[in-house]
Amino acid sequence: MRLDEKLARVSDASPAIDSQRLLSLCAGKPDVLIQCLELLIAEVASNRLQVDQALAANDARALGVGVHNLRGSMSLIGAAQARDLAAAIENDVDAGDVRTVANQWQKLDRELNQCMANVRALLRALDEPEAHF
Amino acid sequence: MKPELSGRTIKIATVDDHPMTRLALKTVIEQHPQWQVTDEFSTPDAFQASLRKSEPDVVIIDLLFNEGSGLDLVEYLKAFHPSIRCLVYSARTEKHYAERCLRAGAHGYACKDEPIDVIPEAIERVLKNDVYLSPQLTRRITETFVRRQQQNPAASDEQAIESLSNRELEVLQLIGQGYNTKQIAESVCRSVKTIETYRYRIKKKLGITSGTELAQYALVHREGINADAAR
Repeated sequence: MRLDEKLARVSDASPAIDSQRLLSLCAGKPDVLIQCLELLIAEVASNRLQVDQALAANDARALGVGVHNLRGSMSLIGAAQARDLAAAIENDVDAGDVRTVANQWQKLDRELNQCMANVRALLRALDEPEAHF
Repeated sequence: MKPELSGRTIKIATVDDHPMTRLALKTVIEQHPQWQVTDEFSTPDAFQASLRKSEPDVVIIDLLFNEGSGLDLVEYLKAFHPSIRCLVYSARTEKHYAERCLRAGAHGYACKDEPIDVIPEAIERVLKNDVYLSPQLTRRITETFVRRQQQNPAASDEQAIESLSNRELEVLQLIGQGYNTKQIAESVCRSVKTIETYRYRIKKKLGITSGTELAQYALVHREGINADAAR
């Protein structure tokens, strides 16, 4: 099965991410896509930890950077809902309004769970033995 | 493309603290046979330090870092390494960030919100000494400009454009379309020296001090210039 077909199949079942964006990111190369997704999983985990720690420490600068990084990662893979939630939090942090962030962060955290589940499903699909590119 | 760049490998550096972004950029950029990502950096400081040894032709810079600032890096490059073409690649889609980056000396601003396929076009444009601005930002900035003009028809930008002669306006219009001096000269059947004189006069009338600012002005005010030219 070709990479674009495999991506389309997985993204039909995982609408949180955009298969066309993923194809663009790797220029159609499956090995690059696998590397990108593995890096993404590590980056998102690190940024989620940064946001959790920043919220606990009431550190607006670290919170802003962590959320901004998540916004960037979600933009690149076309995860529109997660991207928009991150952008809303980032704008509130920039405006100095951090009162609602904890609530918004819970929503984003749930959406990130969904996206990362989709990414892992995609990685499994890319590892399937019938994958011939 | 600048003459000194034609026919040789274009060296491109990336400065972004996301390893995935750097990998994706390298993959997309190196689809072009003459472009090579020669260095990747995760902080502005690391890139700045590398400039003691060598300069890339183009650098792609993220805006926000845990350590350092992409905007400060753009300002530094404009002041100390003006030959490096700077393309900002950020998740920030708000127009005031793009405006600040262009004012600071960036030659382009692309949004991570758009498919990464825009990057080759953005690189092409900055290599031609033109300005690249993501389509969604161009639209927003233009809408704001038009709204301001509607609210205040006597605004200074419009007056400045009106003060240009027909030939100067035509040259400004071509700059906004991405033409370089040589291409403009060919297009209007004048010498390069004559076009340089027009560029000097336009800059003087618009209160602009550099070629980059002129290209940015022509791009941002493209609709206003075209409307004026059509009158």
